[in-house]
Amino acid sequence: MSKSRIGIWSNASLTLKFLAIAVPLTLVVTMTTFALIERERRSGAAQALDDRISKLAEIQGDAISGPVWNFNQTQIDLILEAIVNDPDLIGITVRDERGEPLGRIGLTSGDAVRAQTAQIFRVKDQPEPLLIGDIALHYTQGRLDSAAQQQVQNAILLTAFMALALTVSALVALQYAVRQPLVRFGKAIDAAQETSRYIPVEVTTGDEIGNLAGAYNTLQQKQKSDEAELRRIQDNLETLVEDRTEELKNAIDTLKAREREILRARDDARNALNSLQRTQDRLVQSEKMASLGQLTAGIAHEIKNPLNFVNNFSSLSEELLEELTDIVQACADKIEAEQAEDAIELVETVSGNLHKIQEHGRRADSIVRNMLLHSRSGPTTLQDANINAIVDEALKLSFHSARAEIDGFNIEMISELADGLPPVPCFPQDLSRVFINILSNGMYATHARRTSGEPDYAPVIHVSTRDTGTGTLEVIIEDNGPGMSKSVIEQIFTPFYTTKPAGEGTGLGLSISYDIVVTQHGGDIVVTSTPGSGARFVITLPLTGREDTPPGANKEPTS
Amino acid sequence: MTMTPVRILVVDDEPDMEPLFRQQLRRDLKKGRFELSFATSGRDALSLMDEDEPPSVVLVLSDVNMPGMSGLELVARLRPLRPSLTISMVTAYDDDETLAEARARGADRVFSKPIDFALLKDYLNDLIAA
Repeated sequence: MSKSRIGIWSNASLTLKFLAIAVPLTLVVTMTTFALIERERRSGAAQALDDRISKLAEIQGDAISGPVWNFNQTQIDLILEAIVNDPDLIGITVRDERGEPLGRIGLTSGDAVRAQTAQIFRVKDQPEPLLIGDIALHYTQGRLDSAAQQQVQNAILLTAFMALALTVSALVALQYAVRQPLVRFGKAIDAAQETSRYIPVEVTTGDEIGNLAGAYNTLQQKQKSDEAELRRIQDNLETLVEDRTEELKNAIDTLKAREREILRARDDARNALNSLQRTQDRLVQSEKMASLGQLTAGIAHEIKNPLNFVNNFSSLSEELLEELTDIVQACADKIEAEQAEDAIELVETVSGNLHKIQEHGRRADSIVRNMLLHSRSGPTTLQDANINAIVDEALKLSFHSARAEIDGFNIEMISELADGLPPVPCFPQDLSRVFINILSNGMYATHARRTSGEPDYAPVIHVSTRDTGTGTLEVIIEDNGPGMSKSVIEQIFTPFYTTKPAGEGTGLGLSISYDIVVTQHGGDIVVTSTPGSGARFVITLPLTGREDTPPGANKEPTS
Repeated sequence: MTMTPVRILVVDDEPDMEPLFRQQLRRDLKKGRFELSFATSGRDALSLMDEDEPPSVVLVLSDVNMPGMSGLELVARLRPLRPSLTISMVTAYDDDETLAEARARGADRVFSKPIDFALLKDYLNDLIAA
């Protein structure tokens, strides 16, 4: 039922609808039929009345001819009175042949009065019937009308009764033939709807409702099979969609995996390139350092030979001069005392000079030894070592060395070494040398600042280690010495560059340290400093050993 | 007390080595404790040792880095000829590798340059005492 049809009529029950149509229709049809029949009957009745009155007039004309012939008024009146008892008659008029009235009875109301006139003849004693007057019977159709009215009332009653009977029987028929099957039908549909199952409606009749139920069953079956088909198609579709989704997901996964591979490959390539560049840099640096080291070693060795003579001949000469002094003293009496004194003084001066030569020779020897320390090859394979132990030992060694060298040296040492650091693949002795170099420099710097007369200055050296979490360890050495200018930092790793006074430094310590950390270990040293606020050295060491062994750190020719 | 002087052969391409040794050991030389011979190359040293018959040289002190035959080569050649001879090296190249190689070739001891004569004299005294 479409919404637009909702209304009183549409919502009214089937019975109501039936009553609304059947009752008035029955009434109208029945009443029309009765009206038509009544009209026909009434016109027939009127005709019959006319005929009867006409006949009555002829009869009464015959009956009354005697008295009229005799002009017997009494008899005429008697006859008229007798006639007028007829219920249809309202009056009678009798006239002679000239139209003179002979008698009259009734006739009070002239309107709506019909009249039937019959001629009165004298047959008795006459050769031919002789017209002697006429008789007019006046009558109305009033009795007819009242009869008709009664008829109509009866008809209406009958009609009402018939309509009632019809309606009741029709309602009963409707109830059993239509409504009940329809309600059953509706219930079946509701049940089917509620359970969503196929519930056939019981077909008990062959009428339209039976046909409808059959059609409904067929439809439901068809719907059922259609639904099954739909479900099958839907299932297929779902399976298809799932399959396709799975395929797509796999494809996406594959693509993602490929993307990851590509990214990894790109990263690998980038890392490889970086590593290659670093290796190249290191190789270049190590080549430089190697040739420099070889040169240094060569020079150092070649200097050792002349140094051998310088040192030994000077010490020998000193001894010889002692002998000469003995000789001079032994023959002091043979020369003048003044000359002897001069001679001895001269010998002493020469002896002092020779002593200086020895001293400087030893200094040169120490420089050469330092130079060789680095060019000398150590172990060729990396060892896993505890960086904290190396740093701690280096700190102690540097401190004792500084105390031994400088009278009254003191410094506050703060050491913050991280716990649980992984072992570092390294050359421990070389690393130790690096830390000692940097720590000693720091201590020297603080001493220099302290002796510059700054009030309230407390020398501090701060050492810490940490795991950067990116595959490297850091050793950070900070001092609060005078710091360095940018130009000093730029040259700090250059061999033979030193800021110490002549004779106090070789200028090789940091250059060697740089070589050890960068070339040998593949690490890095970064220096930051602001003049007046100390220096900070950050030594970074990789946790993964270098794939290649160090290039023998400048092997010198063996001979 | 007369004693046969201990004959020592010093091999070094530096000719100044002779005056240095002679002056440093002059007292012992005067006392006749040592007798010094000098060679300026491995070849000279070998021919000198070849002529040393009957053997009188008990110690050879050789430089390592010399033109021509090196000190290490000399040791290797001498050692089979004179198994009981004491051969020591005097070198500027006193690194671990050189030390190891010298030992491997039969050298008894290695002294580094500049020579510490006090140490050397002690060594010679020990050698004589032995």
